[in-house]
Amino acid sequence: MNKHGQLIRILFLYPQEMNTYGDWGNVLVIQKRLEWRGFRVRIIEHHPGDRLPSDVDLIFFGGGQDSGQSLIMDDLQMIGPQLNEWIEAEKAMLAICGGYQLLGREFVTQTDKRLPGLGILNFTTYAQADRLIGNVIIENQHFGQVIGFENHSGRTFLGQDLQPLGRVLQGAGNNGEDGGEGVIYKATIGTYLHGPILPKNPKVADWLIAKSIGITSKELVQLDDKYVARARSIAVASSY
Amino acid sequence: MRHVRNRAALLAGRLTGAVMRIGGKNSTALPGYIAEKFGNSPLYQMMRQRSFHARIVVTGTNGKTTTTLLIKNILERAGFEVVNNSSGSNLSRGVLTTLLRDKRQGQWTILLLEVDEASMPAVVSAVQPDRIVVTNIFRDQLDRYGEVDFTRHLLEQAIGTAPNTRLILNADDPHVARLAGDDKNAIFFGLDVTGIEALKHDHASDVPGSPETGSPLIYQRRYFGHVGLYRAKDRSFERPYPDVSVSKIHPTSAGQKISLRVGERHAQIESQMRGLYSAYNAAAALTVAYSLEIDIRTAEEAVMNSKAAFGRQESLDYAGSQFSFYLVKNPTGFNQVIQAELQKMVNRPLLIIINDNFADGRDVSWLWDVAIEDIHPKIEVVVSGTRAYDMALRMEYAGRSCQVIEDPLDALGKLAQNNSHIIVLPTYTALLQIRKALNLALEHRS
Repeated sequence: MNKHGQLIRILFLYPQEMNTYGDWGNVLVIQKRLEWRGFRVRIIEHHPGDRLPSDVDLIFFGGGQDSGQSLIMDDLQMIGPQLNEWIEAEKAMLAICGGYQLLGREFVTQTDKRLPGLGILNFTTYAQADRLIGNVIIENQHFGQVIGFENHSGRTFLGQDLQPLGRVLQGAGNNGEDGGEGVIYKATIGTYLHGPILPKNPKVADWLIAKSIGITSKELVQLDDKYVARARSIAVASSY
Repeated sequence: MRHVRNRAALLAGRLTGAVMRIGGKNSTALPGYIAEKFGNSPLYQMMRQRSFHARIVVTGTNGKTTTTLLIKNILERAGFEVVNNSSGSNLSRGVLTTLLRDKRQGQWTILLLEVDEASMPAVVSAVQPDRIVVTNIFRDQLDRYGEVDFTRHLLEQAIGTAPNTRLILNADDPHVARLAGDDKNAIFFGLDVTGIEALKHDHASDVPGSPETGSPLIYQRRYFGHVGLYRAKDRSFERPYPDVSVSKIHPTSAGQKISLRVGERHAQIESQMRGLYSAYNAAAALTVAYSLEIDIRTAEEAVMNSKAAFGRQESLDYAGSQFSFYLVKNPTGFNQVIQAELQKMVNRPLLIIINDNFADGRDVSWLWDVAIEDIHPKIEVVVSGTRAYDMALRMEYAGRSCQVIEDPLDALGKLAQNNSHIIVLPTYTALLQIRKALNLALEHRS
C-alpha cells in the first residue's frame, strides 16, 4: 500500500491569519512523517482570495486571533461548501481552536450575538469572559492519552450525534462541564489542543496520515520517535 | 487629544481574560472604570505626593529591559537623578515597592519605569506618565496574555487613561504605530536600512490589517516578524515617517556601529550590542533623549558606554571558558538571536536551555514558532532544561541532530571541557539557575 514517491497534497488554510502558537508545527510534523516514509509532499497554502485546488489529501485549519478571523470570514464562507464536501468524503482534516470552532454551526458572543460558523458539524460555541488555560490530557480509545495545552474562552457543546475526540483526564476540554474534548467525525479531528498537538502525539499524526493515503495506521512504516516517550512523560508529570 | 485617545480606548474592541479581570465587564466604560478602580490605589496615592521632572514608562514585548537601561544611562549622563525599577519588579506592586524604597524626587529627578504589558492599565492610570515608550508587540507564550491583539488592547486602554502623555512609538511595528490613532504629537522611531535579510522560517509574525478598513498590509521591506516598511493595500494606513531613524548598521568586532538621524541632526553610535533589535533599542532611547531636548552628544556617549543588561548578550568567563548568554523568552526574541548570531557558521557550540517554570511560561508551544531551520546546520547543538525533550523534538523536525543533557549545569560542564567559547540560550529561570551556579548573579543584577 505504501507507494513510494506517491504525492500527498496538504491544504494549509490561511497560514498568515490563522496560525497562532506554533500550530503550523502540525503541518511540519505531517510533512516530515510522510517524507521520512518516502512520500512526496506538496503544501498548498490557501490565502483569502485564492482559488481552491481541485483536490487535496489532507486539510489543516489552525487557530487565529479575532483580527485574523475577521480577515478570513468572507473567503471562508466562499470555500465552505467545498470544505463540507471534502469532510463528508472522508478527507483527513485537523482543525485547531479557532479553526475547530468555525466548523460548527455558530459562535454566540457574550452579548448573545450569533455569528454563523460553516455549519459543517453540529455544535455551538459560547463565548465567556474567563479563559480555560493549562495543560490537558485526554483519553481516546485509539490513541490512548493525548496531551496538549489549551487556551480558549469559547465553550463548545457538541450535538448528540457527535463524538468528542476524547474524555478529559486533566484540564477543561470543550467546555469544562461535560468532560469531552474536541470532536472526531469521519476523518476530521477538531480540538482545542495546542502544543502543537502532533509532535508529542504521533499516533494522532499517523492516523491523519493514514486517512490521507487511504490505508490504516497499522500499514504505515513505524518511525523511530526517539524523543517522544520522554517528552510525553515529562509533559504529563508537569500537568498535575 | 483627550477626546481622541479616549475614543481609541473605547473602540478597543472585544475584551477577554485578564482585561476583564482588570477592567470589569463593561468594556465601553473601561477608561473611567480603570481611573475609578485605580484612583484610590496605593500607587496612585503615592504618586500624588511625589513630583518629578519627567515620568517615563517603557513597555513592549521585547527590548524593555535594555531600552530602559539605555534611557537610564542617558538621563544620568545628562545630570538627572533617576528613580528606576528593575526588570524583576515591572508589575504594579513592583513599581510601588520601588517608589517606597527610593524617596528621591524633584525637578532634577526623573521617574523611569519598565512596565509589563499586563500592568500597563494599572500603572499608567496611577502614574500618569508624560512619556510612554512602546518597543514592539509580538506573540509571547500562550499562557501569558498570548494574543498580539490582546496585548494591543491592554496598551490602548492604558494610553486612554493618560490623556496628556506623549507617545514614543516604533514606526516599523504596525501594532505599535497604530496606537497613535489621530494623535499628532506622537514621536516615532524606525529603521531605514537596506540589505537586511529576513529569516526564511519566521513563523512569529502577526501581520494585522489596516486599523481603518481592515485592508491587508503590503511590505516594501521586512526586517523581522511583522516589523518593516509597510502600507495598507488601500493606502488607509502606512508606516509613519520616523522622527528618529537608523540609516546604517555596520558590524564591528566589539558590536556594531549605528548611524542615525535624530530630527534634523545626525548621530553615530558604536554600540557594544549587536543585532537589529539592539539598533531599535538604541533608537528608542535616543528618541526619549530627543523628546527631553537632551544634548545629542551626551546621549551618544551614554549609549556607547552602555553594557548589556542581565543575560542579554552578556559574556562571562568561567573555568577557562567564555559563556555568551542570550535570554530567550518568546519566538521573536529567539529569532533575533538567530538572525544576528547563528545563521552563519560559528565554531562554538550552542546550548539551548528550556525550562517551563511559572516565570518561563508553562507552555512550550512557542518553540515551534522559532526559526530553528535558519540556524546554520553545522553548529553543534546541546539541549537542556526541564523541557529539553520538547526542544529535541523541535530540532528533530527541523532536520537537525542534537544532544540531550537534561541538567543544565551538567551540560555546561561537559561543553566547557572541550570548548573555549559557548553560546547559551536560556529561558529566564534557566538563566537564574546558571548565574547562581556561576556565583555571579548578585553582581550583575541591576
